[in-house]
Amino acid sequence: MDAPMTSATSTPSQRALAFFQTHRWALMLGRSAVIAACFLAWELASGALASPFFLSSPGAVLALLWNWTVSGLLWRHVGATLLAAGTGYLLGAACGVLAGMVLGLMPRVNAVVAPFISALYALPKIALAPLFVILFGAGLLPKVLIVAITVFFLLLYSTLDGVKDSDRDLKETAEIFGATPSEIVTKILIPGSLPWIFSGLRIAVRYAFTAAILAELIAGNTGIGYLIQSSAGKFNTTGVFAGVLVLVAFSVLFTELLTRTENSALRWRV
Amino acid sequence: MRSNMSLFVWRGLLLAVLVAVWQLGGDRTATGWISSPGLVATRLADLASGELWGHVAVTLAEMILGLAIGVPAGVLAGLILGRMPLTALLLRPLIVALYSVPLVTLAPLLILWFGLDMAPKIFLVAGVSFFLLFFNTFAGVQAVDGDQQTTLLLMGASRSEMFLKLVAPASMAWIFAGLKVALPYALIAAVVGEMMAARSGMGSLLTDAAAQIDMTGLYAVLIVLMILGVAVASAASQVEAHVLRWRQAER
Repeated sequence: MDAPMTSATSTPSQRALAFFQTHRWALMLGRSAVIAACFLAWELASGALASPFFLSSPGAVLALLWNWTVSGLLWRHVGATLLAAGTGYLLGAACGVLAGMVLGLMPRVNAVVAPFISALYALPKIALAPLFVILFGAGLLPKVLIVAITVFFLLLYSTLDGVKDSDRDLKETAEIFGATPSEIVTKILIPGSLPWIFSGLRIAVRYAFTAAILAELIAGNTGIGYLIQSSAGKFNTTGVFAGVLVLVAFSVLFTELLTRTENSALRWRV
Repeated sequence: MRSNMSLFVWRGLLLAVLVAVWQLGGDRTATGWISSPGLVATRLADLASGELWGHVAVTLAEMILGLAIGVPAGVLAGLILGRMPLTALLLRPLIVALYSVPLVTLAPLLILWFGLDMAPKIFLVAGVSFFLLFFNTFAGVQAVDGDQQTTLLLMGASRSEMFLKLVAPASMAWIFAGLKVALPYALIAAVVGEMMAARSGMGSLLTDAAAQIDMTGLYAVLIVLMILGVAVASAASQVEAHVLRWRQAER
């Protein structure tokens, strides 16, 4: 946190900054004004700068959002996205941590399979969507698989890093004191890699959400992504914007929840 | 040296086993869902002697043009807004919203706006890379050492000197870190855009194969995409090596 400059050298903008930093209500008001100004600019631009066909308008979008909310359509699609993202996340995270532990404990096997894993990791996962749809049909399963694969690699790599970076001295000391291999695993390697696993789990939340939406855009029949894509298919710009706003709302919610849990942990990263 | 040799032998063996299992599986099942390495290799050779390069070129061009727009613009915006604490404070909700939202998912909107050709994919890549670079540069500028700033200020540095001698170099590591993330994302964005609506590019080749339930073609395109992905990832790790060299020099 920068301390506000002393008043002798401060310019009007520095004084305004100090004012907003010390008065929370003013900051809230200022921020609300900025957001309101954006919506106002959108409303004015629609029709004036570009036809409402391309830009829609905040009024129409809010009306449609209200419509979706009361008809229950919104919650059905939000629920579908969260179900796919959640199931895929749990599946991918469990397999990823397990695979990371196994490979971390067998460095020689890891050295052999590493290039294969990194090749699979480099493939844009969403490219697998058409394959999964052909093999399993459009629906929940392809979405869950895309999310699971995305999360799997993230957790595999963070677990591997954790096992590699857990304290070597500690491990050697334990060996000297006569710890058995299983004791080393349960008492040193697993606890030592937990911070990495947790940070992987946190990062993966956003990736899981993105992967679910992307899978729905490409190959969904429910979900927020499908809502956006099907509106776009009907040239319904209002529907696209409404879907994107729902997406923004949930993304911000996730980010807020994550930063709350993350604040203390972030310090030692980067 | 010997252990290095045996490593490659093991890897080759694993690859051979995987291919053999796939081939056997493909021969045993008549349905063709899993195709076979032989068929895929023939198809790849077929593609490589014809239309493949045009599609690869389209995807790469979308990535490169998008990055060429998005990266410098993002760095510039991050440097400017990073030096304007009041504006940044007021814009924070917007910044958080844009940071949170997965921007690749805006593809349908861009296709609606710009049609089926390369333009929407270029803008998608540009948008994604712009924000990745913007956030990283912005964070980099915020992280500039306050003591160093005060010292420079006391020594009578002008605003432009402060910017050129302290802020820009100090943010460099962050900018490269952003670039490292942006490269794989550019490939994802281009392919996603092409999968949704396109006449050319790897993504459209993929969806064409899928639409005809041409499993051999689908696997062949996936292999090409994997090779592209590996190439992009190794370019990204070159960037990372550059960053690490920087950080070591700093110490």
